[in-house]
Amino acid sequence: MKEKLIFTAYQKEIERTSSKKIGLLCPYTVEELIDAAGFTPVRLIPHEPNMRYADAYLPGTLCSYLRYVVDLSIAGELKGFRGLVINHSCDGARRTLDIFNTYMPDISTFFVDTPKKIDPYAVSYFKKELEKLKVYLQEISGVEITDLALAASIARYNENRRLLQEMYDMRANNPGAMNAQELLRVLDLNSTGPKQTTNKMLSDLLSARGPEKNGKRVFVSGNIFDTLPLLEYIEGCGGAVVGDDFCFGGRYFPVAVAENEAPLDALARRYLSRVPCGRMINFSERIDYIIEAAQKTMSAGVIYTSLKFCDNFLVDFPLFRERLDRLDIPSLFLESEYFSLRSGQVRTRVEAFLERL
Amino acid sequence: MGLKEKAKDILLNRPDPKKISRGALVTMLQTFLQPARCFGTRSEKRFSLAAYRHGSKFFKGGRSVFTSLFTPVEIIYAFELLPFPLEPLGALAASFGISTQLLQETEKRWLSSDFCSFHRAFLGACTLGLLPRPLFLMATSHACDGTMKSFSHVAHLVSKPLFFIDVPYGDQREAVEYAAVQVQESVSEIESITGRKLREDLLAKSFGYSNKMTALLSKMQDARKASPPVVYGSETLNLLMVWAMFAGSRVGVRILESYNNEIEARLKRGFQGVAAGKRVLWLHLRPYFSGSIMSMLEEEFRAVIVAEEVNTPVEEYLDVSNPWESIARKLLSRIWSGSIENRLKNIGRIIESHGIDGVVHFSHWGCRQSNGAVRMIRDTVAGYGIPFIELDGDCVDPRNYSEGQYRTRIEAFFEIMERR
Repeated sequence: MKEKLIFTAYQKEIERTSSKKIGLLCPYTVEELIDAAGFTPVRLIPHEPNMRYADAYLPGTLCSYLRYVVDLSIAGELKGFRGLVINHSCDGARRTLDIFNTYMPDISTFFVDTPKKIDPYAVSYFKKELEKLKVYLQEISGVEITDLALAASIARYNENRRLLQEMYDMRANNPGAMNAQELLRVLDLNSTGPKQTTNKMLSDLLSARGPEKNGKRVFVSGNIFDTLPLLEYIEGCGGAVVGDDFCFGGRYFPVAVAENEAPLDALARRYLSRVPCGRMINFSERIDYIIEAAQKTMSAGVIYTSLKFCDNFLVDFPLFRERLDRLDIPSLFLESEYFSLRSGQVRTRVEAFLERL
Repeated sequence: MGLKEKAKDILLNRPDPKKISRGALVTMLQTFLQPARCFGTRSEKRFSLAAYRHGSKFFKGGRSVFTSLFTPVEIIYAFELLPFPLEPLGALAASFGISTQLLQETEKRWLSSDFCSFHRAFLGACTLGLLPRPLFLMATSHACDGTMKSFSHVAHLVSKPLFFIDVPYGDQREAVEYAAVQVQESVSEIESITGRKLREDLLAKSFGYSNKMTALLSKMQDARKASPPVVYGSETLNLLMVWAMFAGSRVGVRILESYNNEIEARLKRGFQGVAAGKRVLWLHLRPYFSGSIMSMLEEEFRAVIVAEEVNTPVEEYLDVSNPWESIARKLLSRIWSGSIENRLKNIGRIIESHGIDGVVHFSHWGCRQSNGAVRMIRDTVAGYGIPFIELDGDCVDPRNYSEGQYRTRIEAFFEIMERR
């Protein structure tokens, strides 16, 4: 299959073109700055379902994604990284930073305080945080981040956002254009490779249209965990995933950075006014966004998923459900640990949900 | 049906708004006036009665504001409004024995049972319409993510605005400025909603009371260094609520004066009430329902909680000539803000100053920020060569409480302390 060849080729191309890596955990990380310093921003993605070491450091009632990040690090899998940028995404992120600083002093970390509000005071404060991040990146790279380099990086990222939007539109029009496994592969590669390379990959994929496919159209909302089993169950039951709002998926690319403003001002404004995460004070706009996207993609139902112990997402579900019920949109709620969606119970619930649609 | 059952019935089974205030008052009255340990001392009596009067005003329809645990309520008092902190409601509900019903109400409405039960309890109360509607809500982002989430939901349920202070991570200049401008903005919003300007004389008065309370708490905590101890921890663990409810009021000053007077009197005349057992530092909060581990610890095992980190005085004084910045500095000085370093340093200071023999951390099920720090706390305590125990449980939800398990663990903890 053509896509598989593209993925293999681009995996190699990403490895070839990646420079020194900076790890990141959250889509509020301003990747343009990291890129402009000559680093490759790389989202940390756990691949090993066995939790080997993290239980000794963080409790089981904390986000399993963050626990896996700690696990990766203790297992020595971050050795190729020059540093780690951690945002003030949530309480769990704050404690993860503490664990890194206390027990893994060899790993260079930088913490970016990220306001929960989006007013001009918050933007101004966030800009100051970005100035500090810029200084840190310059120090560890030995490269000056010029306005020119930052503007070029912003343009690359905006192009990436545009291409991802096009890809999501393509899938909404024809879910057969790219199956769930391919979609998640693209998102993984896109969030771990240099954008020069992943932009080429996205362009190639957009020209490689798959067969026409129809099915019960489903929108999946979620945060940051391994959703592949869920998407496969939906497709296996004759459904079609026509949209999502995953952290590094459908919620990653909307809203471009203004290219006609001072770069740091534009970045601060864009990152705070992107489609909000549950951590933001305007979190209800995420609910508006999902409902609008579900309606635009003519979804027959919405599956709301969340990592267990993620207060920022779990607490939104009652409000979300209330809104969907009012609009007569069927919904299914699933919460899971990072790797726990592959289960007979989830499959049965998905089957029953699709039968309802 | 007994008085308490009737009140529960009115509150939970038939939530008729006309009867709710009466039902809640009956329950509060019955709870506060029962001849229990809470009336064991004059200072506790003063606190309980003040809380009762505060609750009465609230339920009788006083111009109230829903606040979070660390909201600068001095501002609310300066506007002559009534702060009503929501988190303590979970504790109160647990001590009434009605928290389970409130929590079940939220579970029926799809709220995850992994979310903090303090927040779920007041969300349950608001969902049932048990609380009179406030003028507005005012909350800060510490100590946890749950505060913003639950207060936003309550604001939605009661259709009132939320003024939210996003407390920054560090304490650098820009962080102080960001917090200060938010405080100032909140004041402008309150002026607009109440239709009256903030009076500087009332703010000065409120700041004066708050500063006096800070000094009194520091004095009290100093006195608790005494050996043998003069106060039970179960007498003082609730003092956090004094701050949440009364910071910036004359009542708050009187309560803390009363505690100080009592301690001074005990120091002068000698006090036999507290056994000279092991000296324990209590970290985080405690279970509030009856039959909890507090009595086991202090009465059965004869240990004395001589310090609680939740009552650490914030030695930042409010300054009416620079009001917003001084409030901002106080907000940023809370040990729950920012890096875990702040909390670890505080724990170390208390261990050294209070002659601590052992440290207990109560890991409340839904608390990510505190439980996520346990490994670092354990290692810090180990550095002082004293034992540490983590007790897992829930402060509000009694459904999974198992006394036997706690007993076994506390026994083991005491054996280790005894062997030292």
